[in-house]
Amino acid sequence: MENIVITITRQIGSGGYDLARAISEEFGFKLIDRELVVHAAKILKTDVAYLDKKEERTSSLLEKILSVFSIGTPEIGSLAGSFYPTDAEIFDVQKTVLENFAQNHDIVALGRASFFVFKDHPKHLSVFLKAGLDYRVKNVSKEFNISDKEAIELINQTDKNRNEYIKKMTGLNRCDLRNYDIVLDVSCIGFELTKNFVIDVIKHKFFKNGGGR
Amino acid sequence: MNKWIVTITVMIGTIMSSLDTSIVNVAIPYIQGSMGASLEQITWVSTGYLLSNTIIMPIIALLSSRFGRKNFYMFGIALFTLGSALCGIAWNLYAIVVFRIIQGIGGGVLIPIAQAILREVFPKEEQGMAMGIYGMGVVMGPAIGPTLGGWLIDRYSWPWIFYINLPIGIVALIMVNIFIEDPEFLIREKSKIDFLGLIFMAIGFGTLQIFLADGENKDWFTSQYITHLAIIAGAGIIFFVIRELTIKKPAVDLRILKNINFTLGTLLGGVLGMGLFASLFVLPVFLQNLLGYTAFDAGVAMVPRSLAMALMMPIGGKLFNKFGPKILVSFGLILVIISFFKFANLNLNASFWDIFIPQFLQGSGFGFIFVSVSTSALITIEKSDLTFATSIYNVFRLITGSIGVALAATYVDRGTNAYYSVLTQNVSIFSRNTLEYIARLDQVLGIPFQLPDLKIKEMLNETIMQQAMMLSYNHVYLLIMFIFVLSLPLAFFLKGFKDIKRD
Repeated sequence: MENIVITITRQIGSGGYDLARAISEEFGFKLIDRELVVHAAKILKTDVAYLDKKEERTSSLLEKILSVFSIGTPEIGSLAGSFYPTDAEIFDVQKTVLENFAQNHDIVALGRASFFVFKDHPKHLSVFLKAGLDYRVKNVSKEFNISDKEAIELINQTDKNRNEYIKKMTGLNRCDLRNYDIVLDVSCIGFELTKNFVIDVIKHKFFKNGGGR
Repeated sequence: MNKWIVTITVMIGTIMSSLDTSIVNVAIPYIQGSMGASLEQITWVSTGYLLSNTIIMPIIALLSSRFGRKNFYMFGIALFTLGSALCGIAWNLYAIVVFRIIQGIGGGVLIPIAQAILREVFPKEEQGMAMGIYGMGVVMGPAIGPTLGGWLIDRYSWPWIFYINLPIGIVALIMVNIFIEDPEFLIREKSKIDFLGLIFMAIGFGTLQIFLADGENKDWFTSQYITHLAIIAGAGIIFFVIRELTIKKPAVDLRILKNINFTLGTLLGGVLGMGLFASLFVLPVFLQNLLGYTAFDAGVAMVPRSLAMALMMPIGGKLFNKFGPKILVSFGLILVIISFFKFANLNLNASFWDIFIPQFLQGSGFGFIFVSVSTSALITIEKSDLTFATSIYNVFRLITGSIGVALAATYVDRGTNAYYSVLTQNVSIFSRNTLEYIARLDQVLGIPFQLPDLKIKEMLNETIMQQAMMLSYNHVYLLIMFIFVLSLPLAFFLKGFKDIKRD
């Protein structure tokens, strides 16, 4: 029997992690966030910090070239004491790790193109969480303890990185709402209502409407 | 410590050391002439450096933690610089080989320690970039080495390829002293060094090299000397393997070879090393001695290979995830095989493009193979064992490289004699071809020659000798090509990220 997979794609500052944790606590689903990075780092023989830096963003051309030369050269030999995998390698490994988790547990996966990974999964619910800029700036400046101006810069950069990442890895437009089952604006209806609504949808879809276990 | 100043500081030593893997090759014909050595004997200038690199490599981490990283790094630079200066003033073959060994020990220290220093000053998330910048620096050395070496030789003389390291070495020493500090958490360990294992390794592989180089000359096992060499080499290698498998802290942890994927990758890396170093050694000699290139032109002729490697490595890296090592390594091997086949069919009228194209193909092939084999070999190794595994991979590559150089030179020397003897059998005043050749000389030079004339004999002899050498170079390239052909099936057993994920 297939396990339930909830994927949450979120704009930074919209409360995606809080929603994922709430779903995880409500249903006892496994929350896949940091664990994914740690597992992927282990498989890729690289540092977690290196993968953290690569999180949901694509490498520049210079970074791509440099990562190859970090292997070494034919004359000098191998320099590897660690691997510095490419974006595609990281994505592929994270995809496999996500699929492995989903084989063994009901999961809530946060970001990292998980909506795409499970697009054909029979028990998948994809959620896109958005919010107005003011709402996000407030959350981001509080979470990272930075000024509003810095928060705006961070938001713009993160949105750009995530959009490019999804486009490159999946070929899809991250902001195309047709990719998701539910799209919610947290700044419009508030976090509590958002959370309760998503929980209700999960109950309805997987536990009540003949689709449950 | 400012990480960029540290980067520049360690890069100076690194480029100096990596330059020496290739700069000497264009000087070989000149050193050979100065020392009155045969090609086979002069290989020790190259292989002495490679072998001393090999021997120091497994104990660098231990020595570094015992004496302090900064001290050991400075020792490496000082030894390398001193070795360079001594090489420049070497008065005979034995002297230059000993000085190259000294230089090789110093040079072998620089690259791994520089890496360790960089890993310390850059945070983990930036280490990929730091190693990439470092790798690009490492690529630069061998790429500019032959051209720079050629220019120095043509402009001054061969000792200057060694003297050039003096000012650079001194600047590097001063900068390391000022800008590099050992981190406080670096504990000076006094762990035991497996000297016995290293001695067995040096005896085993050093003697194996002499055995392979002298074997054909002495008609292999009909000679007592060769039989003794074989016994010593065999015993050295067997004792080395037993020792490394049975002691707790071996110099080279051979137990990692239980990992079949790593062993396959290491074998392929060894074939790559053998072909690469043999070719790097033989080509400049061939271009200068047979095609009449100047040292500078021979250096420039080596650029397409380095250029192709630098271009194809990023492409290979990008394609690795998509196609995996089996396809990429096979493709790279096929390019290399074609390139050696082209070299094996060169003649004395070879044009610029006849050299450029196979060089470019070879560089492209090496680029694809190296990226894929290095990644694949180490991909199944646990992260905690990566440093040991990398060391074994590199040690094996250097050993096979050194054997490759020795074999190539031996076969060029022997082949020349053998082909000369075959060709001269067909040259006589009763031979139609000989008479036609002399008639052509008449036409070309416009001088009527009378047989038997000493001048004609000399010219004929020179032509035959050149042809014999050409054929022997062709023969060596064909041999290298066959080694790559034989290694082709190994490529199909390598694993990529996709295989690891499946596992």
